[in-house]
Amino acid sequence: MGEAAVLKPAPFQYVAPRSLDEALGALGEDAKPLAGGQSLVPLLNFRLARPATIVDLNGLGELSYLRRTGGTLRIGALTRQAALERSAVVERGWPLLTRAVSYVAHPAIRNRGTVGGSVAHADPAAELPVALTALDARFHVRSAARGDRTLQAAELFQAPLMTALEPDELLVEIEVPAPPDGARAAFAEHARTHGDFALAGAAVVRAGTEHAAIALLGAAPTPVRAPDAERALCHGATAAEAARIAGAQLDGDYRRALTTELVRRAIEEAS
Amino acid sequence: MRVSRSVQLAGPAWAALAAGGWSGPVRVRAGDSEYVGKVALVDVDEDARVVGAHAQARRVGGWGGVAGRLELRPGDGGGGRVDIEADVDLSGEASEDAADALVGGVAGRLQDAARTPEPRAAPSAAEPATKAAESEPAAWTSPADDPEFRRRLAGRAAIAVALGAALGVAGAAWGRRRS
Repeated sequence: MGEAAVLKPAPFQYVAPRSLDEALGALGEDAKPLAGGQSLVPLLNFRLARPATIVDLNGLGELSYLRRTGGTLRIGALTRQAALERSAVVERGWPLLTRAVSYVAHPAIRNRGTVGGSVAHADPAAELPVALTALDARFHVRSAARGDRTLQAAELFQAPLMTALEPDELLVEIEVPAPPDGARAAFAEHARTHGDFALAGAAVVRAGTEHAAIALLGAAPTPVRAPDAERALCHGATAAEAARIAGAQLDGDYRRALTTELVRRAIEEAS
Repeated sequence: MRVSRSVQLAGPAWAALAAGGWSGPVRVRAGDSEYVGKVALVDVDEDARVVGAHAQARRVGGWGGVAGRLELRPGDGGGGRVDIEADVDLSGEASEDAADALVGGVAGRLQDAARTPEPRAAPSAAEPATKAAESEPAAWTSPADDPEFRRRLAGRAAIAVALGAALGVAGAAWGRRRS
């Protein structure tokens, strides 16, 4: 007793804001927002991340919601992945998200992990960023100094574990437009064991020959679309042909073969 | 199993439903058993005017639980009636009464929240942050909070200690006789 407690993480200042404005004020150059903590806490414990300040967002109930308004799904950044999985609104209108989130780790992790945290962490093997990329989601971010801005997936995800978010910016909402009428969706991935980080995967949204969206997981440093394969699908290509086109951009025989097969399966399921 | 129930609120139904102030702990009784758990707002479909919720409870001092997905919608006519449709799964020793009781517990929370409205609007973050109402995370009720459960646990612990002591004394006496 009397000795200083030894913790795994490097020392940091802990801030628990009670409002969004307060949280935005606390963010800055050497501060990290803490949502579900499923990625940040291990990084802190391994001392791979050493922020001076942790801004705990868990008191901000205002950022936790799933709401369908005017056909658009609005997901608060602090919405737990388990809520996304349980939502009947999401299952009916955006089944790709329900499918994708079921692949995220295990139920205990989904109970704590947040949708916004998964997006802002930008792990190239994460399922939700890939599904949101296929769904043409828009990401609303806010800063105390610069106000609001909205980013597309291609603008937000810049590199592995890197986004376009500035240190004082916070992802506050994800807006997912309604899929085209009659759209079907599928998600396929391969991991060594269930719940492990996926080696490769694909998210597909398809509405006949009118609309096709294919997003690839593990094919690049960030989630990427396969526009050539999408065009081919819209021009009547078979699932195997479109999958070959999608996989052709990848390096490495194994990864190319795996991705091609997963894309083929996802297209067939969504057809 | 499916459970349906209607409940009459003191105020407008949709406002009370969408505000979500009814989320929180539930404690219900089904026959001789008591169940504790929580109900949480999951989603709000403003287009279809339906609110989704998830409720779960486990039996106090026993094995069993009840969990389900609920859909709550305002009744026709714009009054205070709320129709609840629940798809409930039972586990362990939980009886069908527990499913009815859980949905009844949710209905009770709705009525309580409608009587004491709290500013727990869940606005879109695209709205100005100053309009956003704060909310407390839902409190979790543990069976250990139940005095009856604690009394029973203490009784069992006392019996176990007494039994252990008696066995120890008997063992020591037997050891002395053998030597």
